[in-house]
Amino acid sequence: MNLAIETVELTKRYGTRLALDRLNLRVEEGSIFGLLGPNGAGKTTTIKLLTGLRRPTSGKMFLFGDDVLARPNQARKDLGYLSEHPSFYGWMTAREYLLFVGSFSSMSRKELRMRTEYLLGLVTLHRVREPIRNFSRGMRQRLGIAQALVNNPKLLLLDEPASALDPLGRKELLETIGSLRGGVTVFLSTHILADAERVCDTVCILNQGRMLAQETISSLRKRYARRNVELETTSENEELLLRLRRADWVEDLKRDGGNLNLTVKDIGRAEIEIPRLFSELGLPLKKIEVKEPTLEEIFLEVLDREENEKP
Amino acid sequence: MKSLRVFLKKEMKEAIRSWRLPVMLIVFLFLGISSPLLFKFLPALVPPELKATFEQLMKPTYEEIVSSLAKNLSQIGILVIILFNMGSVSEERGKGQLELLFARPTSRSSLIWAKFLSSSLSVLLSLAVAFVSFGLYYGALFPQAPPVQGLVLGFLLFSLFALFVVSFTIFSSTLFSSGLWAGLLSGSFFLTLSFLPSLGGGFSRYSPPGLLEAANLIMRGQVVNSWDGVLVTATGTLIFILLANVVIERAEL
Repeated sequence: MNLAIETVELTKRYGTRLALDRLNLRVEEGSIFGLLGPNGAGKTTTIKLLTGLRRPTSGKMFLFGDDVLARPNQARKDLGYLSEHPSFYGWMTAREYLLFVGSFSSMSRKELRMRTEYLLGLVTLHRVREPIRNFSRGMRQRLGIAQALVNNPKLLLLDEPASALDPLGRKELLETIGSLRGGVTVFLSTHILADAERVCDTVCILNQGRMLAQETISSLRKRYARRNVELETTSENEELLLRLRRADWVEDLKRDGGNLNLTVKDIGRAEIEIPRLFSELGLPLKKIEVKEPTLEEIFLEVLDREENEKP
Repeated sequence: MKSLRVFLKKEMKEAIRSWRLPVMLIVFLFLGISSPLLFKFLPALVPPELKATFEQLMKPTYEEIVSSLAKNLSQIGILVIILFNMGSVSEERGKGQLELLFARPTSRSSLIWAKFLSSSLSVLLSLAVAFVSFGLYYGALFPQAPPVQGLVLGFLLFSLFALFVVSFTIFSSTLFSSGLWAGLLSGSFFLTLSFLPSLGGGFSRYSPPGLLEAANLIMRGQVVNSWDGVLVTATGTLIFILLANVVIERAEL
């Protein structure tokens, strides 16, 4: 397994405040990795440390095996970065800005011009001739994406990339990010959990500088599965309700219109017992669905557990 | 070297597009021509009864006129240089523009050198405009031609002091996220420094503002040895630009 990002006991203090506490991240090459957490969790600090814009108090970090502290320019060679509130030179046009920042890469002039035109088209700014100072927030964000991609990076670090975009812009951005899967490693921080759920393979949940979880979304779902089952039937039956309430594998039962929402103790047993019960009572079972927790539910539960475990 | 080239190109373009360089050239052109114009035409505007007193105060000799140029450059000129450079790093840092650049394989110090070189070029060009326009206007308005050698030496000494101002202002600009604070620090520093020559002795000989006094005397036709001031000012320029590099290298963005 090749790692695009690895941090070892990465710690950052601002005065007496501990912003990041011994963070050990491992991000696989080609994956789309989401860094989740409430405000002040340490997401931006982590990204700024990885770019070399800030120095850690202690710990190490590697991008594709290159030590960010010992060989910063080597580590940044294949890096694309977008800050949360990207700021550009207002007197430049989008094209001029991309040509300017692209000049720091090893691309030839011809390659850079072609890359610039391609990216302007990708972010639909190819027809815009006015200076950046006249851009809307959404246009700036799109230019931010283009400048992060200008050097054909192997790793993209995006700090809240969709926060300033409207729903359509967000959808397009997430599609663009999704299309990079496999070729480019994307490391993004976000507080919009639906976005992370949509594009990320793996997530890390941070709170107050501490890593609470780091795993694939599917394994998080398994671990935090709440054993909720939704049943849909065409006819209400008192006998069914009574037997479900008495069943030792049922923890809770709620009625929601024509649907029944069960919380069960053992999902495996429920999957066997429910069809049997309907069959015995001669009732039609239109739908049985084991409900997976959303990332938001998992996120809240992880934070909740952290709170409860505090001494 | 590549970073320096890219940053320098950007700085020069910005100086022109933001009107910084054209405005500076116009201000220094005005400073250059204002003294000969003032000495030539002001007496004609003074009422006859005040003429005698006025001629005693403002004698239209070359020494007086060139001193007026030196005074304007060392006051308004320096202020303009501070105003145009106080936000050079702080504004970009404060707005977050440097973040997207320094996350790339660039050298932070090349940004500082690019700013110093581009500002120095603008300042030298502006001073050249001031001195050349002074010489041309003086030659056209007064009977005798100005002494070229004195003006060239004066230009060189003023230029060195101006580079010292640029260097210190860029350094103070790396310390703050607001150009205003950087400007206040630079202004206070040069105001304090300007009192040093009046203390006499070593202060007059070695302090950078002593160079301006030397330039004034040289332009007036006197022979002055200013090598000590030149060395101190050149060293100070280098020290402050290196300090600016240290600050920006350590800065957390």
